[in-house]
Amino acid sequence: MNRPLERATRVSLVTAAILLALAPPARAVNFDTGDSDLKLRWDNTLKYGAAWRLKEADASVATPATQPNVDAGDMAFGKGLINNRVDLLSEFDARYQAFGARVSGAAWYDHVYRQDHNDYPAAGHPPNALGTPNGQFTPATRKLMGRKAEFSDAFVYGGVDLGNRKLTVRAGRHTLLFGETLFLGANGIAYAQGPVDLIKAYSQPTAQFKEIALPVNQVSTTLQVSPALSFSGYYQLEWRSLRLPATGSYFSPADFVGDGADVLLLPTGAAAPRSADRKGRKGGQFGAQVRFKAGDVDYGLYAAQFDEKAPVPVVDGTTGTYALYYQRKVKTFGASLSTVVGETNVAAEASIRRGTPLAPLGDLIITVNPSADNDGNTPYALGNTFHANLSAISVFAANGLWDGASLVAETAYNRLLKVTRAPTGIPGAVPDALNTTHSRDHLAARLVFQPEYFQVLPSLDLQVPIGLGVGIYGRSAVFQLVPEKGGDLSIGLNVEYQKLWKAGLQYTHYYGRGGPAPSLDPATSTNASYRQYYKDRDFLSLSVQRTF
Amino acid sequence: MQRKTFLLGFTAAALLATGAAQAAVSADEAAQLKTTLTPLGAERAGNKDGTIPAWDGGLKAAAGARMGDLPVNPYPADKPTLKIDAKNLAQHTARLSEGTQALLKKYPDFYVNVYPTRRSAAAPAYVYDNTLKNATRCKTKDAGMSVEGCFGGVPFPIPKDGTEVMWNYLLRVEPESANYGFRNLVISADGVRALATRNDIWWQYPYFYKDGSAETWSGEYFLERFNATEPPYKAGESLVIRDSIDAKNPRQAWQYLVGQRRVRRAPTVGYDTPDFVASGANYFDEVQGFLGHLDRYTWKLVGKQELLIPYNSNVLVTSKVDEAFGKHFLNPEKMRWELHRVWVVEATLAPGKRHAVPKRRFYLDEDSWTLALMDGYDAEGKLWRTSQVPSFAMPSVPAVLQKPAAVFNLQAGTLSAVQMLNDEPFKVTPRKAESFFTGDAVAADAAR
Repeated sequence: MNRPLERATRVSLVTAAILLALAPPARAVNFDTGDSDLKLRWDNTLKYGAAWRLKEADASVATPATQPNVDAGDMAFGKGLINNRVDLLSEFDARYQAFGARVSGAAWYDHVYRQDHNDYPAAGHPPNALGTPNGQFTPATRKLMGRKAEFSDAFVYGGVDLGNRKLTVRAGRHTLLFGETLFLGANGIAYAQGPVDLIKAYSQPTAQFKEIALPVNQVSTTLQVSPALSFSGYYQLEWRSLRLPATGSYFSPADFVGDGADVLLLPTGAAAPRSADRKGRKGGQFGAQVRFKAGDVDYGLYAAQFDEKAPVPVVDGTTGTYALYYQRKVKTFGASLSTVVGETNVAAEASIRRGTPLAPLGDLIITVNPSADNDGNTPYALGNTFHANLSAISVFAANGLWDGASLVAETAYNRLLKVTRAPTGIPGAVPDALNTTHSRDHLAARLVFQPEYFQVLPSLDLQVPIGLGVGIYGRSAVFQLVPEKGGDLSIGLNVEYQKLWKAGLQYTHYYGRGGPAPSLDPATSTNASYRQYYKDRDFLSLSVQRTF
Repeated sequence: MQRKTFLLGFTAAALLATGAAQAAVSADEAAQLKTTLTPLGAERAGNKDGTIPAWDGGLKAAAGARMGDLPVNPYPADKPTLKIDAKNLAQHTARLSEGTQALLKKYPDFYVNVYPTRRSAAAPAYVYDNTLKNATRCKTKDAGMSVEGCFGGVPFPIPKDGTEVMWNYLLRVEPESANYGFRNLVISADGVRALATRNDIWWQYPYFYKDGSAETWSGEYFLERFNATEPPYKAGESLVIRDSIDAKNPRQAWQYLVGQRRVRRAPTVGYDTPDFVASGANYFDEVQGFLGHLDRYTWKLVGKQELLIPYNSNVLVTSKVDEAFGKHFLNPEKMRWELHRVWVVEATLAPGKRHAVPKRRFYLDEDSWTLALMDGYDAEGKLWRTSQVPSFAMPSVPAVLQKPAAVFNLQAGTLSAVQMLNDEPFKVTPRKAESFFTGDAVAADAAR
């Protein structure tokens, strides 16, 4: 970015360093309540993060001739700073015997998104947003990406012993995950339980899942019948969507999704304003699991109904508007197992989804059905799909190359079993809803291999996480986990000092055939894209954190 | 001074356990547990010098202050009778392990304060009864990697080989259930001490259930669950471990990763895997001195000798964390060393197995079957690591128990102090439902 911003980074770096250094040596605040059964603790994690773009925007990704809706974020940033942020995570826990409460909140400030102008040309391009001139972030983008504070968890819990059985209940905003998936939960049972925050996932490579998971209001319970058998269930009182990067932000995949998005430019040159989202419901999402153990294997059986967390963008040809649809009442059934093979934890999970939208991220639907909805009368195709994940966690002993190392790897597969609804278009004008370029099967993998080095210098431990995502095969009709024959590669250097300070430096490279999401392919008359839409967005990130 | 008293000697060939179940001792031999041997299998008599007294029933009560259920100092009148440091080390080498000698040479400010020997080991009556039964019914099987017919007491009070001694160690006297907090501290080569983690832990010992029996016992000898409270980014992380005599499947473990909000079967939480609970500063099997299955090594019984070992270490174990440490070691002023007869067992890598520490030497107290010292050697046979296990007297059980361990890496100059009880009350508790010790229970209870 421009020079004043670089100066601002230096100032912020110094400020952050001072803030962190001045902090008291105390760790978590543990209140002495004088009652050993009552435990209170309050942890605050302060994190400074900066990230830099390493390549200029590539026209084939940002400004292809057939797709004017994917440049706002990509072209808002030249090479250089893309994040310059301070994050605070505050966690308060109270526990009295088997009962307790937890409240946590997050606040952040990113100077990059609080500036008046960005690198997007002020003139010469159609508008990226209706109310905001090009070259500026929309107010919603400035807020979500630049300065916000919010509650995360807020729940109470309790447990009662019923003889040798135990019943636990929790109520309020909390995260719950079923199944055995790790990185590729979008392909698993876990997808039914809750949405995630993709902004944090992208901008804080070292963030833990607890920071990325978006908790929802729900009541959940577990009955532990014996060491070998338990039942769990939940009922959600709230629906939240996946949190996508706001429009015009660096990782925004398309200008018409995410906070601040309000217009979609049609191939005709017309601008379709955004109409109300077709959201999920406040009630009606629920699920249950049975977990049991036989021999050395843990098994799980699952059933759930959920409303989609990922939007399907739909252009309404009758009104000239577009809306984001979140399909309701998707049902999923599955089973899992987890065991140790040799020295490796191996877990497998298989599930079926019924009534799931056949419009993977990167697809754009055009409809002329005036009464289209996100329930039974969908503008997009629906179907039944099969999903399977296989994952492994291995820990390695010391050798000449490392003091310790871990490998976490997961592959995910999905298959279109049956198309149950396939709205047709108008030949020559509106494509059929189900894109014609998908394959029946999709296979992807993701792994993190992390060698560790202890006491490299006194009190200083080092980790070198190496991450790889690969789209091995196929163009999914339901969920493209990694771009076809593409993916991402990252290498990091994490430092832990005196178990108090953590710092990380990470380089992320996106590979594969570049292209926008979505693209309009005149040959196949479909908008679905399986290309690497972050092709030009390699970046370097730095973070320093400590908890007080 | 070269007065090693090897009371038992066996050729290595006789020690290599065969696939068949190993015979227990005869009823006549077992009867020694009521005469010349203590009920747990130690020599009842003192030594000739009078420096080891006869066993008089052990410590069953202690007056004075307590941390939780743990008496702060059961022997307040005792004073050190000898101080061994680098200067007078040469006169005392016969009664010092190689690891202790190495520490004395490496750190000029390290010393060994020798106290009068107090044979505090004892056990509840039902444990004595079971030990007597075990003597004639308990056998090793699966080439020594499992046992059968044992319950509720020392399995091999009159051991015939190294594997039996190690089973006595693994199945040493414990209460039915216990709960405490612990800290792992890592001391770097420059003497800076860092808290790696603090945890709350629950242990349960189905092998010592008062209403159990050899017939009804599941084979699981301990259940363990702990929950990290420090550092904050680890708070809520949990590990459940269930160890069993099943030779094929000796350990099942589940891990709750707070960052993932998920419980998974944990891979290789054992052997020479760097202990992620202590941030890799020690191996998993160095926790509590030695923790886990025997299958990586061949176990040779070297014999028995008189050795200065940390013992009745209640003062060290209950002192404030700042007082428990010297610069590179546990505070010598708080440590209590005593002369005891120890079983010496040498572990060498079993054929086809792998371990970062290819050879180890174990020194186990004859009275309690606790591990006192362990030396580890590298592939060149050079002393590399040494562990001190400050066991403590717990008269309310009654038993001598071991939890903390100081793991020295002599080459790196580091110390990993594992499961230190300083500033933490240790409590013997009523039994919990066994379903408490499961991954699903951890997931259901996890607030973070």
